[in-house]
Amino acid sequence: MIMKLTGSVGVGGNNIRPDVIMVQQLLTQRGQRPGAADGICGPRTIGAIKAFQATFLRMPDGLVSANGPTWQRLNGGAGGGAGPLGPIGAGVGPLPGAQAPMPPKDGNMTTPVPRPASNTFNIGLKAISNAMMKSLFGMPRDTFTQECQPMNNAALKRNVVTEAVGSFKATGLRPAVMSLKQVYGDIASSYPQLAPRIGTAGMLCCRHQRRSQTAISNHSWGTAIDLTINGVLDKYGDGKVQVGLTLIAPIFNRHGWYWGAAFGTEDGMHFEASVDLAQKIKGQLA
Amino acid sequence: MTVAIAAAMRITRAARAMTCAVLLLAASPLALVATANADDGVKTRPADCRLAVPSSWRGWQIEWIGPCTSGAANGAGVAIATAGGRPPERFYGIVTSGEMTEGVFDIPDGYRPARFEKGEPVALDDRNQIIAAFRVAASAARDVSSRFKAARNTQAARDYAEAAERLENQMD
Repeated sequence: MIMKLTGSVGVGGNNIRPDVIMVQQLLTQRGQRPGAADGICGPRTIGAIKAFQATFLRMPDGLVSANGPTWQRLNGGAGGGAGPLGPIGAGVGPLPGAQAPMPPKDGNMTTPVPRPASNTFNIGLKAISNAMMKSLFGMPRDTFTQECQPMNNAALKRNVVTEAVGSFKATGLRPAVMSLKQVYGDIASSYPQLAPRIGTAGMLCCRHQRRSQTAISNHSWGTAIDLTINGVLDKYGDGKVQVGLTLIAPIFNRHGWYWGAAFGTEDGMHFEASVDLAQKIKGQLA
Repeated sequence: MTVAIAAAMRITRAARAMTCAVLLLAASPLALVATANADDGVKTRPADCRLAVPSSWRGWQIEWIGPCTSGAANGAGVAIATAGGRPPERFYGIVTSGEMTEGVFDIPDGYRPARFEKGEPVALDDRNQIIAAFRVAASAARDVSSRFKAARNTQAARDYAEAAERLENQMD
């Protein structure tokens, strides 16, 4: 059913009650939390509009115009842009007129910029814990060191593939690599200048987390990847991220990949399967 | 990182005895002529400590803080490249007989781990090699920190210790 707004909703909008209710209901369907659909456009509704816009706009303004890109996304974008594992998270695929983050004017994709606000990415995604990875997939091997070692869990190992993902090769669990291919395809469509510059510093790598004798790196299961742009690694923990990463993170998010920029210590080059995506990957293992 | 060339310039006589810090004018990746800079305040640095640098640093001023053997940079250390008003770039790693062999470039946009072939850095895509390059770089930064500590330049020692920490933590 096609719904129409009679006026705008949100910051400075007309906020006609039936319109507000419609927006609140759609926001809830998209995984946002505007509160009860009471027709009152308060701070929670505006916050939810901004959070939703943050999945596809660089500067959310908190306003849903009657036929603007936010409304088009809310009203007609369900399921778009989903990868082979289906849609995950609040983000949906590209729609005509949708505003995408803008590439830098000087074309330098590795310029560090401040880490975006935490409510503007990974919306609707949950980071997965070590314990949950162990519980979902089992131990990828029996012993670990600080070096990358091959997987020796036979059940997992038979699902490991090495395949070209656009401009680089990735080794990981097959459904995760397939998802990456979808992500790369979307990046290539949205940012054809950036896509060929993307490389990797590794995906599958069975080892302990840095400086730990017990915790296992999420790379050990082949569901996490570190990216480079022009062969340059984003610096870990400096609170800044390469501008190119800010462009591709929403695309990763749409496919269920959690961006490490949100970690307590920022890890901008790192993307890993969120809880939902990890569960779907698990469901697709041979 | 806040370590500036000036920090290296403040190195004391005691550290100079241990450290071969040379100022080079990069001309070609394979044949560089070391030239001491009379105005930099470190006049006792040997002028015959060769260090070949990649072509991307051609024309840049290069400082090497690390050991020299038989007239060439040799061992773990840091090469600092400056040009005009640009932010400095650094190479933390191993140099063998004046040739960079393995380490990490610390540039304003991030880190570029590399091994070298024919004097030019080769990008790494194997995760173990990348981890190894960062380990080598961190160790080199710690060596440099120790040199400054021995020279009682506590600020530079701390800066390089922090650089080592960052390099050590980069790869999970």
